[in-house]
Amino acid sequence: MTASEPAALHVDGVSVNLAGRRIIDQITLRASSNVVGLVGPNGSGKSTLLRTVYRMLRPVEGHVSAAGSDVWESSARDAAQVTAAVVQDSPADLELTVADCVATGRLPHGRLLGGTGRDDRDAVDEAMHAAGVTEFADRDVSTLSGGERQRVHLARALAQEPRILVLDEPTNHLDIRHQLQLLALVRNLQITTLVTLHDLNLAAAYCDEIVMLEHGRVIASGTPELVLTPALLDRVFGVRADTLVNPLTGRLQLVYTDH
Amino acid sequence: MTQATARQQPRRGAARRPRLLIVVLLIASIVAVVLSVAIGSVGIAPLRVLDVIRAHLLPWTGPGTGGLEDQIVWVFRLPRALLGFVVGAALAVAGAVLQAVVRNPLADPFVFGVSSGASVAAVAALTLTTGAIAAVSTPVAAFVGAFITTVLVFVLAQQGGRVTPNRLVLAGVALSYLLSSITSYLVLRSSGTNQGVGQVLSWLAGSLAAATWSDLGIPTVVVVAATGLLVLMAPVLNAFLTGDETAASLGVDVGRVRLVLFIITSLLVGVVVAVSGAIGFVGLVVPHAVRMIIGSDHRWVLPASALAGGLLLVVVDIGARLILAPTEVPVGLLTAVVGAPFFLWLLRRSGRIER
Repeated sequence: MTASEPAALHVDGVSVNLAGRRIIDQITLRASSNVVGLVGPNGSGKSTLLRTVYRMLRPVEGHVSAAGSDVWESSARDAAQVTAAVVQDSPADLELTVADCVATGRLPHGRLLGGTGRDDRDAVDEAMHAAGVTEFADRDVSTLSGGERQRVHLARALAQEPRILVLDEPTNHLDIRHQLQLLALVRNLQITTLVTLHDLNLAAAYCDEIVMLEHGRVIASGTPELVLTPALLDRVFGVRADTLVNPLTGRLQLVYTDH
Repeated sequence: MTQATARQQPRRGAARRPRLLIVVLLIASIVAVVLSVAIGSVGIAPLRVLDVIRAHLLPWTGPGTGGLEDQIVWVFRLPRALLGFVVGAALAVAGAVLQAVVRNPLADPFVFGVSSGASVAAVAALTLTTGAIAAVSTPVAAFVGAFITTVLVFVLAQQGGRVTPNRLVLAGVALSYLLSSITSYLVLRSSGTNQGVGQVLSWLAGSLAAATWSDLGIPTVVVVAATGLLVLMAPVLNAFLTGDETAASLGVDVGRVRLVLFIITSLLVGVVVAVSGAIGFVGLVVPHAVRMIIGSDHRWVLPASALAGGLLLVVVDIGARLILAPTEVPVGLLTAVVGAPFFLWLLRRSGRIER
């Protein structure tokens, strides 16, 4: 939303324990470009890492800094003014109107009664427009399809006017058209974005950089060509894949072959 | 976006008029309170009721009223009607808040054991003749019981430093069963010695019959203050609706705010259960009905629930006095008789929407 330099997200040696087990171990990554993809098999710690960024899960060691300020040293409210998240557990039966739901994004900026100032209303309108949900403004979120709902949550995150955006499996349960639509939308936002994706071809097509996790550690990071190599895919995901450059898009394409 | 327009749905938001609902509820509440005072074994004309209230509130505007009717209106019936309103408002607001913070439509003060906790303590104070509890008055005991139970539910629901909505509901339900059986035991025990059983039973069923002006003060202050505070926190409640993770990402300290909201509701419930006994279903049904009409934005849901809850209890209390007149039915029994079918209807209706 601001034309200034993209903000940087720094994760420095972050570890998380849950029920005595180490879930992520000394993860370090830097995200300062538009879209950074986080990939890895189930249970590799992708969502856990994101939780330390949007202040759901406090790391046992290490630091997370968003746009220059330490996420866990700031107040929850200050952190939420910098970082917004679209998470997986959003209830489908939400009985708020789309406009009211998007307006919750003004909470970290808000006065007590929230969402009533002119700048708040402008931010909500702009966010709904950017995510293409303006036409649903008066409908209940519970009456929308999965794709529409995901865009509403993106709009809610944008209403926070974040400098860092964190998306946890935003394409889950969406049909292919809505997957492409959502990722294209995120790309066009020009906000530093850390996104977890299961579909590696989508990751290759939409991410500037990819970070690959395995067992809670960073295995590789860099451009899609650098990270999504047959050797790493075999080792980390246990699949055999060939990589080629898609002649139509010029981007990396994975072709999975038999085991 | 062609599909979206093809299966166009009614723009529900456009039909919602929260301000209109509040005005309607406000007028209906005033009418109900006046009627509640007018109706009884001795009927008093509503205009006469208003005149008595005027004479007491604005004595310089005209002659005093005095006499038997004045006494019936001012001493006996008005405190009862107002207490009914305050109790109903508190229970409905508590229900609305609990349903939001645990995102469970079945949540209400009873599900969380808050009312059971108040009951155990109150019944203990009524029946036990020895020990420290015998020296405590029923309202104080009920209040303390409600508060301790809330804290206990929170502690029991805790696991690895986190409290999840589902664990809260489970802990509340379990504790509430346990406390109910303790209450039953206390009642049985005292029935052997025939000690105040009638008093205990009528307290358990919930009643406004004994209301006096002095019962009104503390509950009114607490209900007004707590509801005001909760309305200020309405955006946070809205954030809770979007899920714990999203709420956290919006800068809500989920664990701490949930605890604060629980303590405020236990205060609300404790203070009214203490003076009225255990009145069920208001906290469950009213917030649902309100949300069906104006949606889930808590900036409106909370004040509308307060008014609707108060109105409902005043109306039901009129019914409780009329149905078997001259005998009074405990108002808590009647809220259950009215509330349970409504709730079942609500379940069927919401089931149809989901399919």
